Amino acid sequence: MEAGRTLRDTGATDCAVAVVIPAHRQPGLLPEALESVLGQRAGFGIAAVVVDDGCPFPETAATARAYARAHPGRVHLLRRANGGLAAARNSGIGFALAAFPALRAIHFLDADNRLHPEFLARALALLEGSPPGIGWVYPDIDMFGLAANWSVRGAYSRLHHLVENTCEAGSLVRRAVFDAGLRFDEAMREGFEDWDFWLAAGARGFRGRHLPNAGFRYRRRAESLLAEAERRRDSLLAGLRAKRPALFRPRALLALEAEEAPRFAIWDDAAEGGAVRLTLDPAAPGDVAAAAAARARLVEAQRAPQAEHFPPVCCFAASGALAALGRHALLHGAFWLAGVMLRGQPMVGLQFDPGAPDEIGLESGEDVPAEAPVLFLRTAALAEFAGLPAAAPVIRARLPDGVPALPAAAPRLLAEAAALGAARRARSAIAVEWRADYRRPRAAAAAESARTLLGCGPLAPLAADTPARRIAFLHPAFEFGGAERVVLNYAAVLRGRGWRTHLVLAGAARARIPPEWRGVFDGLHVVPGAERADPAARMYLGAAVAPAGAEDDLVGLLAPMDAVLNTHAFAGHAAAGRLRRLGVATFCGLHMVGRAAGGNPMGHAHSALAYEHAYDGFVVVSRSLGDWCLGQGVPAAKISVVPNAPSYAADPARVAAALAGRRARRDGGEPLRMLHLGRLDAQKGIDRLAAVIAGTAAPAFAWRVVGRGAEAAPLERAGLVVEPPVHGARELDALYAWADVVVLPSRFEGLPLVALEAQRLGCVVVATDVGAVAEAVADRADGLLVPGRAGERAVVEGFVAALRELAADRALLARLGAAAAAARAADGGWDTAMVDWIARLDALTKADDA
Amino acid sequence: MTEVLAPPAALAALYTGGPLLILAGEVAGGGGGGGALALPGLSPWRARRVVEGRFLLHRDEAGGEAGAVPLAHRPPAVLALVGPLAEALAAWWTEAGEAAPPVIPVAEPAAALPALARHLAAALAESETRRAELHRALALTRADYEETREVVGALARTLGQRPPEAPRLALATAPDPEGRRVAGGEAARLRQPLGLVAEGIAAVALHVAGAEAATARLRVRLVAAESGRILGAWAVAAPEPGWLALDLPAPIGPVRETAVLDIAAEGAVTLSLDAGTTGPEAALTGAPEATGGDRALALKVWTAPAGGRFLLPRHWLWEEAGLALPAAGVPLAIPEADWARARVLAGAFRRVGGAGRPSAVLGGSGETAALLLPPVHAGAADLVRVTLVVPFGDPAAAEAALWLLPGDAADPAGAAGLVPEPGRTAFSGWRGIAPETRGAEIALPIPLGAGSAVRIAVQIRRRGGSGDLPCVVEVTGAALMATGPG
Repeated sequence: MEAGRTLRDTGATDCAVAVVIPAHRQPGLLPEALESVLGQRAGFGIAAVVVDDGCPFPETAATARAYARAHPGRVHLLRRANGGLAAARNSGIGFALAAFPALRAIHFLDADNRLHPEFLARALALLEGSPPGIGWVYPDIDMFGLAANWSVRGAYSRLHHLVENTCEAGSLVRRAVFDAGLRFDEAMREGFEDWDFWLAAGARGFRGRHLPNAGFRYRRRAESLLAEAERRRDSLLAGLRAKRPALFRPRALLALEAEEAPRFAIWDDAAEGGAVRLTLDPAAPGDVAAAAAARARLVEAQRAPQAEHFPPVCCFAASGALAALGRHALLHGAFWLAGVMLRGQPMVGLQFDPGAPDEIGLESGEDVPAEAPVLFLRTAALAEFAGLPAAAPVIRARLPDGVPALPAAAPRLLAEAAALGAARRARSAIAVEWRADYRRPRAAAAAESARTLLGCGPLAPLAADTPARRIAFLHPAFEFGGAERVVLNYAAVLRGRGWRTHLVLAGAARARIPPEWRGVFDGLHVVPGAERADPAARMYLGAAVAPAGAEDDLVGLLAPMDAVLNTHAFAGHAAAGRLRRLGVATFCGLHMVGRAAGGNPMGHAHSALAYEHAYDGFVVVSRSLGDWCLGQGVPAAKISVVPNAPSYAADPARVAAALAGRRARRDGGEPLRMLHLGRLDAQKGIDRLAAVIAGTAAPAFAWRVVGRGAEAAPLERAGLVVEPPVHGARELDALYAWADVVVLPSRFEGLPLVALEAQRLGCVVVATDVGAVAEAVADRADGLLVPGRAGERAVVEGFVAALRELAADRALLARLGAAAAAARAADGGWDTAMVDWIARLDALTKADDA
Repeated sequence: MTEVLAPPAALAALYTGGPLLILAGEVAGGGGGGGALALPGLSPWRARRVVEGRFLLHRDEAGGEAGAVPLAHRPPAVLALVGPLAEALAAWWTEAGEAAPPVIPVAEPAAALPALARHLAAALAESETRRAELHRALALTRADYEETREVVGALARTLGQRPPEAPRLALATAPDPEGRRVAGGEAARLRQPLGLVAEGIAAVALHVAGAEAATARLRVRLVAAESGRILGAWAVAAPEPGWLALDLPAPIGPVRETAVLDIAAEGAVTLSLDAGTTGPEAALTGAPEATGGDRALALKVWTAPAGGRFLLPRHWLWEEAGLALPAAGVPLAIPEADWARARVLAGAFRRVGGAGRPSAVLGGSGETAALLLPPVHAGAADLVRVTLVVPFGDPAAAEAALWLLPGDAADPAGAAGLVPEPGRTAFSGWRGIAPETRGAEIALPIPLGAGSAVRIAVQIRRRGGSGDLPCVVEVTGAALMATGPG
């Protein structure tokens, strides 16, 4: 084929580009569209395909026929029953694919729009000069009529395209896109069908590319299909998103954010050569740029924020600071928290504070930023920065094993701000683009994508490219009580199975995690203000519920997870339904059914019932708790029983030594050694314990009480020295090895870990028969149970009698202790206990992947 | 439901051009071409019933169903359905809720002619009515347009009486203090986006860093990037160092396109680069070594409202403004008819096939032939390309040269009159013919001093070669082309 011809003088068989023109109710304007197609100057064949979409005006077909007769082989007419724009375009696509064997691309031209003569030549050259994955090239929009000129320049962004339609339908689309089966959705008759088409093409791996100086002319009238679509924008968008949920999943958005619109620019003094890292995930390598190159990108992004992206948050870090956060699993949490705090501040500092050996956390406060080893600030503020404020909000990263001595980050920040100012002054006054740009700034579109598309706060900055599944354990606080120790074991088992584990605190800023448990969590996160009382004091059958609408940030943080286990966080209840809709498997962890001081049922388990439908499952620590859930209307399929097991692994040598030592003592006629271990509060029946101790005095009994709590006073008045709590396995085993009997007079309980751990070392557990205690202690088989619902006096008398019986009958003591040790030795541990729940987790999260 | 199939290769023809006449079923004497219905301008098709309710549409010999595809749409320009199955085929239209074409259920083609004539007459009448309506609308539109022109003209005359409005400085960049510059040279082409809309631009200025009066020459075009229209054009010989202001006769009207400068620089001339850096989209292209890809030219641009001032600008090329820039790289061939008007300056040419391309027969060594084409308007092209072949004789024995003369140059007396004139003529030098292809292609930039029209001379000579056999050289084509900047 010769170059240089126009459409008017070529044949039809070598048509490389078809221009599909749907025509409906615009017969007077159709000739303009046709003339602009016929006037194209290109070195390839072009054919116009007019699709008369059941137009009621006969002039439409007559005009198209007249053009077809005047330009045989160059203008074609299809007539169909009215089906809307999408259906008309599809008719044109089908025809072009079948009729033009040499077809390379299709352009969609509305009947009232026009093309400048070079449009298709430019467009095809760019399309075919691009990699095969570029499925379409899209123009700027030069409107006439209601004159306006809109630029859509810059790199194509799928993330941006999810937030707003950045591609005009009048684009040139590669044949491969249609060969892949993509068509317009004919059900979308009210608009945005083009947006939907681009998203579908994107989901199939195709991308767009901007065509500069395209020459696409869009007739804009005051009233049009587009104007009508804009009036119905919200409902159309809701339909668009509901139709393609996979595109709008949190992980999908994070993947796009990481690829196209990283959230953080990090000036880390530890980086080689002063390079700047642009990344979503502060632990990921990201895109590394030389300082000058990063600065140049920032300057361009500030001049044209709709066309160029630069991370909206800058981080300046002294060498070693980020590594210290990473070592303590605080890196992601700190960056996410800084992003949240920066919503109301231009700058946030981060300092390291020493904590107790088991303390770790991220607390908010105010301090002198000039000394902070890490400074976060909004990128928009960087160029204006001349000096640091005297005080600013800070994050105090509390580290359990000492604080690194680090220099301040401020000098690097100030130097960069000065360099940025110089770079801006060195920039030419010449503009890149004269058109207006209606799009959101790229950084804002990315930053707001969670709000816009998911209705939540910022997503946790976690790379989406890891195949490992993630689970978050949500707690109001984390104080290393029984529930926390259970969750630590869950986390350890799941981590061992390849999961990434995150601890999220909704109502506290620091967690107590003993050193031997450090490493169980990959991330620790704090959501300030998430856990709060419902100001409306609403009740569900007498149980408190969470305030609605205050959980946006928590949802954003948890949305990238595959699963969430909420243990006792009200904010988690409020978030569960939203998380579930976002594809997160939601579980509620229940440990006991609580009772108020008056004995009436209350507490977390009752509140959870108000949110039953929002959870995919309930994880309970005992069979009796499972039965309780069933009785409360929770479907059986949603209940996973994970019977508690000792919270730390057994040391066979210590177990054997303990059992042998106890046998030796019993032969020697020593006093019966009594131990109470646990929180000293009303639930644990400490007032009862005091009375029992009074009734079981020396020399026949020797008592030790280990714990901490508000109810210690009655014990101390009785002359007992209360020992502080211990957490280490060795220390706990030493206590159990000392004791013959462990006494647990609780008013209500779950399945107490103390009982299981004590039994493992041959202790006889004497406990009230409440909660799931009977699942650990079989009365008169491996321990003794006292009826829990008897009157207070009867309970005390029951304990005293039981203990006296054991003191008097050492054979019984030995038999029960041996049976208890044997029972626990036969238990399978946490891996076995979690089998059902893990199967359900796998089913839910794998189904999600599919 | 009726179904109609057709071979895919026939689809384009079914839905374009026309009108179509479909012979449905066996029409006696119809033959493959439709017999008496094979009239000029009519495209007869046949519809063969494959089974009840299914037709195969074909143009010539009946093919099988294999490979045929069902038609989703009814052909739009069917004049009539003719033949015993016409009624059955018409059901295809009516079942879809569309009006069926006229049905002429005859057994012989000739019998359809009266009915066909009636339908054609009706269609003609309808078409004439429509034409009259369009004439009326066109007349009204023209009246509107003429009134608008008169109003605009009157406004321009009124506005022109006022003192010219001081233009507004819309862009000002400074020459690089470190002296960064871009040099001209043979056929240097630069492209500089202005980052501005064309609408309202009243003047631009370049900063000439240095120029040698004898050879320096600039041609600057202000182009609307999207449409390729030339909005302004200037030719400057021997520019002086410093700011070179290039005014437009009037501020550009409502052209909402991207303003771009297209600059050709010849001879010893250098243009200053901008002191500041820019991104690649705003940078000067065409001289990457000089700019590093992040510099624009030092520029000034002034704007003014429409009608704000009317000037008679220096350097302005009146004949270029308003042209459309030809697509870069697309050769625009000189029509063969123009060869008939070519003047033979030396030797003898004959026309291939009697009226086609010129061909010269070269006999002995040193024999020369030369041909001069009439002036051709360059139309914003900047390169001439001539192609030759040697269909007979030894290619190594022939060589050729190309001359470009100003459009207003007097006819040379003969080949000896083809002499270089610096800045106004161009000479390619003698070029050999490639033995493997037996052809040659000679391309030559049009000198900026040639003006808006150019004359092309092709010179051929024999330089020896094998024996005394004659050598035939045929000029197979000549074309002008815009090379485009960068």
